[in-house]
Amino acid sequence: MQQVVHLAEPATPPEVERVGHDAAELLRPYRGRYVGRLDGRIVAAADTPAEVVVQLRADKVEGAVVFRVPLDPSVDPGGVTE
Amino acid sequence: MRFRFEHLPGPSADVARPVLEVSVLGSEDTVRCMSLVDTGSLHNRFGAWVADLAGVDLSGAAEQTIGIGGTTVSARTVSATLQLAEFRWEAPVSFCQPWPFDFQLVGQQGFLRWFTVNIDAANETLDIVANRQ
Repeated sequence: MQQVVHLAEPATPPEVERVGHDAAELLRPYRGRYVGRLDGRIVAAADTPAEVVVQLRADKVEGAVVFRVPLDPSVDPGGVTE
Repeated sequence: MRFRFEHLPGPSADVARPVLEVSVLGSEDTVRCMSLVDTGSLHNRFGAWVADLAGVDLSGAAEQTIGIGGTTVSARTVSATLQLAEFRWEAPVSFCQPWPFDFQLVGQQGFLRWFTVNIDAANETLDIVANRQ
């Protein structure tokens, strides 16, 4: 007979939570806007990705990640796409 | 390579998501995108704005309608050059319009086929190893 192992819910380490919270707070003022982020700093922000990229190009910033800070990050775009 | 989940501020609580900074290399620019590792997606799906800004030519690609996240979008699929950290690969990407989502999606055929990914949601890490032939 197969042995059943009941698992307790794993906890996220407090240090991980703290670092993550700090990163989220950096983004909080930009919810719903597009940003460019480089080395943990917001180096551009605008209402469209094109405006962000134009800012980055004007400032000669390379390597920034461009994304829209979600209004609600619990909304899930993933899953079946066919 | 180890990557941390991205903590995103929510209206009531932060949410940590398994996202990666994946670059699209085009003829005009390299656009680094926040991309959700989506095991439920067969293909890579990106917003058309990424192709526009990077200079990825979509003119020869047929337009198709696909469903993503409960909505339908118009997609044009081409082989694109992608990069994660030092690893670069060529894979099909469907560039979609409209793109109401905050992240791009990297999926099974265009990403997970190229890398072995260990996702630890409790510790909020992605351990990724390139699949070298």
